[in-house]
Amino acid sequence: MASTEVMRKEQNLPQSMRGRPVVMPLVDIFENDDEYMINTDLPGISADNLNVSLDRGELTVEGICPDEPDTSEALVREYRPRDYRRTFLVPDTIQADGISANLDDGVLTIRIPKAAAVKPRRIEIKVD
Amino acid sequence: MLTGWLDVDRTFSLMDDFRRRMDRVLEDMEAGQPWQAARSNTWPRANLYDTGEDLRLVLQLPGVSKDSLSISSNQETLTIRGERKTEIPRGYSIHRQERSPVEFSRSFTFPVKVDADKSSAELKNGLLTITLPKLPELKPRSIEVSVG
Repeated sequence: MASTEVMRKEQNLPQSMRGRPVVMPLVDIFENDDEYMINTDLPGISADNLNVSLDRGELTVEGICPDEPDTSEALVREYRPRDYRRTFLVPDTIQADGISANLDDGVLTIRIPKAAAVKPRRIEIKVD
Repeated sequence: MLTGWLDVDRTFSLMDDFRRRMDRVLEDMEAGQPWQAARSNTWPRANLYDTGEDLRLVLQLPGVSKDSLSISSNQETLTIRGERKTEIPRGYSIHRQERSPVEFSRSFTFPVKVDADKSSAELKNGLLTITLPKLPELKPRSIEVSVG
């Protein structure tokens, strides 16, 4: 079935943006008859610093984390601000203009509707 | 042919997993502070800042809503409890599942005394920021030098 091949992630190695390491955010990917759904953890990223783009079948999520304020001294540091980046391969059979993205409590949800041609269709049986 | 593809996918997902573990290890090494040593399974992760007037505790809590969070304090410790749910939506099949549901409780003690009554907390973009004013006698004070 075609669905086993979709959403195989492109291997994007971390690149330095602004001299800071880039990490891959964790994702969940779901699919039903109508759409694909991607949930990804992006703590500390506001909508202004987030970029979701689709280019030649690659869906890229990029989040730039703001710098820590200089005025404060870190006493304990279990994490560092990180930029996030992850790319997904998306099949051709989607409606690119129907993609929506919603950021809630640091979790980005992307919904990618499938094209009508690949949705399962029920065919009515007429009785004469 | 199809199984061949799937094997390739599995190899890469192993690499992903390895990469993530290495990220965590490196973060732990960077963290390297003798407070409460961050273990790779510590969730949520926290940073503590000193702004002079206040202590500021910031926790990474993606997917935790305000309603599922509780913060309590007594004189010595501050405790944050909560739950993060990652539900599989009904009728969907799973391609990848990397995010996990967590029920957590973390307690913190601070190097200086703080005024719990005047503390405030804000949850925004998956970060919980708790601002704890230092007790007045601990705030930095400049001492004038008088010339006799």
